Amino acid sequence: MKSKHWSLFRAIIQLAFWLIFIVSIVYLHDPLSDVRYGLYPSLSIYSIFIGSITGHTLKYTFLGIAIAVLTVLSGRFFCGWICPLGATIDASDPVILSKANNKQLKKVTRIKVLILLAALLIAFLGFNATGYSDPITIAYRGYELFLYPFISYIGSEPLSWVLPGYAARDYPFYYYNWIWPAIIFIGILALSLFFKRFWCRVLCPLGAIYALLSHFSLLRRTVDADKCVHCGACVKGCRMGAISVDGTGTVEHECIKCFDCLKHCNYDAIQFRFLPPYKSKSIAHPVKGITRKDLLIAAGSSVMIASTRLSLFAASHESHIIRPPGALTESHFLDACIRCGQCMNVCPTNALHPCMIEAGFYGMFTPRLVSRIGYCDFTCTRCGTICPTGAIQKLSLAKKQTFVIGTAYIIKDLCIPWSESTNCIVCEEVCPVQNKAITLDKKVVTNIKGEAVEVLLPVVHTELCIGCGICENRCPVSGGGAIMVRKPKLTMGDSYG
Amino acid sequence: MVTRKSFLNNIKDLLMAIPVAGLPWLKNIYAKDMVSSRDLVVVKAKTITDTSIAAMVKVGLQEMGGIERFVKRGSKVIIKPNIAFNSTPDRAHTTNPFLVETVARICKNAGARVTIMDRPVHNARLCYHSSRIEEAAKRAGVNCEYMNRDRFKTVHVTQGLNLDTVDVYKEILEADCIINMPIAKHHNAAMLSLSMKNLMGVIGGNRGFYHVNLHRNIVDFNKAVKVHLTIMDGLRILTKHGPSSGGPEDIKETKTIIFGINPVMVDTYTAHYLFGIEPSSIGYLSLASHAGMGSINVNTYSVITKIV
Repeated sequence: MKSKHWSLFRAIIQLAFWLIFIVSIVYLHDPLSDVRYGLYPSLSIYSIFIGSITGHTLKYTFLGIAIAVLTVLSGRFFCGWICPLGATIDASDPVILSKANNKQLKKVTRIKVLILLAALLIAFLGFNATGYSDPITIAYRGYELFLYPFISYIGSEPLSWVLPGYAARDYPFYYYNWIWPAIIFIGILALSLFFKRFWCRVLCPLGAIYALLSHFSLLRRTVDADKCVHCGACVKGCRMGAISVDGTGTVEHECIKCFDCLKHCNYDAIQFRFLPPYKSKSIAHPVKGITRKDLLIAAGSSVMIASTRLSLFAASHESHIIRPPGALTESHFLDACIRCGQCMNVCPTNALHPCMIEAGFYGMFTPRLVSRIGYCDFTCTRCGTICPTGAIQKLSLAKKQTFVIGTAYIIKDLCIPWSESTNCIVCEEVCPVQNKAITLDKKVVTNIKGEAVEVLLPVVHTELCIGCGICENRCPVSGGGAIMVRKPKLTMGDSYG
Repeated sequence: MVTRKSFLNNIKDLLMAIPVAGLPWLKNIYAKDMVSSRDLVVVKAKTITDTSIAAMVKVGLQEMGGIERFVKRGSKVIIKPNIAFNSTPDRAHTTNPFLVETVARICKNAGARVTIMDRPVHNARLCYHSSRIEEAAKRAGVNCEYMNRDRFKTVHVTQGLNLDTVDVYKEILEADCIINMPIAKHHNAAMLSLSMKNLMGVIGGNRGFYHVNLHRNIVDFNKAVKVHLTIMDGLRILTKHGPSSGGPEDIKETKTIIFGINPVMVDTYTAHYLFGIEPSSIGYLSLASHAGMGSINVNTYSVITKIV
């Protein structure tokens, strides 16, 4: 392959990985798909690190480790070849007309290392920051919770020609609180207004890990001093600002091996070769410029952020939020969940939605069951199967059908049979539990006109109810419904709060 | 509210109106050979196997005057089984898939364009899959479509008991022949879920809303939608904990298929003979007979019973 073609080849691979990412989201949203293929979160060595510190290991860890090993060999290629957020940032560049900043940003690029440091520190304090900072989960939430519902709504007709059974999806599906993942996602893309790949150069903690690893990588950019005329074409074209002004020096930990400089060079002066690090020296190192003050700020802010995990600041311990079936106890759940949002994507009934701050700051973007929008299907165990961390445990179907996530309570003042002496029975009809957790009591009551009428009054058997929420979902009473699923009345919480 | 879609639909309807104006006249011609000689055909079998189901359908349709009586070459047929719940066929919540397949195949061989559809309570994709109806349609080589929520059309109910208008699925209104294929099962609100109740699956809007004053609404749905043939799946019936629950002990093997044109008569017969329930005690049946939609006196029916 001619050296000029490497850049195109890289772009094709990047597009392919991006397409796999998109197709996996669309595929997994199909209720009949095989949910074992939610692989992308495991590509992030950052999630794996933090998960192993907080004690919840990811599935398919070998993927992330393999990429880390490859990074040591061939540099920070992940950012330019695989990362879905990086691909999205690259794709949005022509739209928002961002320009490359070819200065080596010695001051601000250290921020990503400090973020990584702070994230690791707070992980030791028990706080799992993956969901707030990992680029893969951010991309996941942006695509799953914002872009896919949005595009599928405005493009439902053309999509139904391509995808089987599209009209049957409970569309227009949407996610409660979708605006917050959307703001973060668009905000990160908009950061490129300052310069290209702002997020990757300045903020991304996963990029920081790969930067640290690739400082010693073997694949290096070398410039033939005889051929180079110092025209600066490669410097201008470098989206990561990894080339020194004269074009000869390279900041190895910033180079994402996009091979654009090969394309820009008209003199064939640039080559990428496997060399031991001592033969071609990087002109900077990733921790350059970090002062004692920076470390103190990182440590101090990490303690402050981690404190939101304490019950004093967390609304979580005795919260009213219904978690998906198989979820760990609340505090363990929050520690384990990496907020990738895949459970919400695979839910066939659009029942799972991201929290904003109703579960506390620490519970942001964790899944909750909003019964009024969707219910937990009695024969489905998809969210537990796809969860990459085990925050939602994988349950067998028999176990799921007895797993209590809440209990339904009838609001008798709103319920049509109880308040108006007219038959309704919808909640009883839809109850999926074998012997019906909601039954109808046939009683003669006096209605508002004073007549004695026979009415079927629904009653909940709390010992049978599993809290799937279909009764609340289908209740014909407008607004919030006349039956609601709450946490079971008496449970041993995981603390006394 | 005028949306882009409804605006375009209005324009389409306007353009369509010109040829459609001639339709009522054509319909009268067809209606002439719809005259029924006998009310019901009941086919029983000794065992339920795929071959016996196929034989039952064949005998039953023959006694009804052949499929050609209902299905013309090139006409559009919609088969409306009960696929309301996400449960497997053995739980007897949904119509037997092999029965649906057999009927679909016969219609297809008669030269019709066949579509199978329902509006389930649970997620449609899951329901179509786990009830095996989708698979059956594929085997028969006919369409199996999901209902699109944008394609319901409001129609007027003449002398409705409770409703003035209902939203009916557009293709149902446009079809030449509608074959209703319910499964007979217990239903807590309606007492029994039979062919008249099964029509709820072509009605749009808020399902829960229709469950208040359910019996009157069921009669109104049947006034709004004309069904040409009803084939009642009485092979295995759910006698308790219906319509979406119950274990194997609640299922009774009655091994019967009932063919009929008038849904009131089919339901009355099913309630009386398969469940042993007095038809007049079922709200929607007595309301329908008062509204003059059919007699609920089983003794007045002309029934032919065949055993395969």
